[in-house]
Amino acid sequence: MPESPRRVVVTGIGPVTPIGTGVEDFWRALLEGKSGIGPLTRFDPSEFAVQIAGEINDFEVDDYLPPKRARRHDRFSQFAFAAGKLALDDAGLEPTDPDPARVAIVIGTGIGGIAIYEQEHEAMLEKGPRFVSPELIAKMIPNAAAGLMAIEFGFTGPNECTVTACASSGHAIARAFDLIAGGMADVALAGGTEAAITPLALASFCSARALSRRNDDPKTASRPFDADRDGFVLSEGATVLVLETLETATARGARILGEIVGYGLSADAYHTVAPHPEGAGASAAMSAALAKASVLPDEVDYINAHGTSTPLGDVSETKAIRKVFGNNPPPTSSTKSMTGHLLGAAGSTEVAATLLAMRDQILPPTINYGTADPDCDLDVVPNKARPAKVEMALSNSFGFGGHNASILMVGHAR
Amino acid sequence: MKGEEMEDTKLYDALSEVLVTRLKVDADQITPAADLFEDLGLDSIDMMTAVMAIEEQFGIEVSDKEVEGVRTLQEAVDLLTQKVTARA
Repeated sequence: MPESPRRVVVTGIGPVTPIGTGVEDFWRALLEGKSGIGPLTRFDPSEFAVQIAGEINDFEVDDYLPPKRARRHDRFSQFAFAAGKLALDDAGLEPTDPDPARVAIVIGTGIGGIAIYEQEHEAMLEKGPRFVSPELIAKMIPNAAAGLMAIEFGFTGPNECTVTACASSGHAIARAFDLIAGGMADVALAGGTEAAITPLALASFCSARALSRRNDDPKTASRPFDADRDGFVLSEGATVLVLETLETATARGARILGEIVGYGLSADAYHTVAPHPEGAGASAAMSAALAKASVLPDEVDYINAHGTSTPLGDVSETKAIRKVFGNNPPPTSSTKSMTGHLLGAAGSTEVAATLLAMRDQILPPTINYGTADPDCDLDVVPNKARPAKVEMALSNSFGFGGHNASILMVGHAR
Repeated sequence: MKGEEMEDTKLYDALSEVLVTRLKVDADQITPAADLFEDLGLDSIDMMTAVMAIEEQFGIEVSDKEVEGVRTLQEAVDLLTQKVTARA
């Protein structure tokens, strides 16, 4: 007889985001409807069509890592390490507590170390190949973040990186779930990270017409599902979760924030950048998540949407939600209205928001919602957080390339 | 001060600067006799990074082979001074 699969719970959350670092700052900002978007200050954006971003300007890597070790890593890896440290602290877990061989690390990123890549490419063009840093490759590879965390924490279990653009950390959580449920690990640090507010990345997103150009009013630029939305806002940050078996969590008396009960993964098989017009891949991912957990659509109390604020994406996701949930879909908010789009870190940041919604029985809002779009006819929890019964919830993440991940979770009360 | 001594001081200061600002070495640990690996905690990649910065600043070229035997900060300064003087 096959053994029943091991249950996977979340015991720690570590967010490093433009609206706040650490669980309580992050959550308070979401409930207050605070925008993390402002003028872009990382470099001079005067030649760019878009001059706003969700920057984290108070991040000091030295608060987490000695300078000598921190300097070996690009900003995206530094964010991930900080988020991992915060998540372990939140879980009440010392790196020395668990058997290090039984701790997995799965950290997704959409782009990896593009800042160091741009810097060293410029060095090569300006000074010649002899002046390219020997550390470039080691710093830019997308798996550098997961590697850094293993080196610093000493965890020697499975160590991986998922790269599926803006679905990267959704895939990371799904992969970590499997590693734990399948017995390859007892604990996992899972999440995503991104630090792509750089000239080259911004230029490309501008050329793709993907970003909001609301330069004169940055705080209202990210407006998912609103009729006047005009693109997403480029943000940076990382969120890492501590996942572990229900058994280990219970044995050590850990506070359990929720349980991951299913996930669904799919591909649009349609277009590199544009979402499937009917949301076929997105609905397939959501349906697969429900099927994996053997639950019916009407059991879901809340959806944290991918909801990037792009004209096409929000319509496609609305269609997908309606396809799965019919005429009475659950309240669906997009916390990207506040955080902006953390790309590879979006999925885990939003799973974190969803778990906190279940913890406190309150839905974070979609801010900047003014004018209804008939093609996005969802209850988007407009502008103000709303108390609600939330026992089961879904978090969606979709990425360039047509990658979809949907994570289904229940609150601890269940 | 003779020409070479001046160069020596200049190189010592420049290399110290690179160690502190680029490689985040603790300034208090920097002495002429400090072992770059044992005392200052550098590895071979750090050495390359430091040498590269000095090469750029002083317009010199140092081969990997020449760097190989260097252990202390003073030995590095001597090697670089020799290069700068030879160039002049």
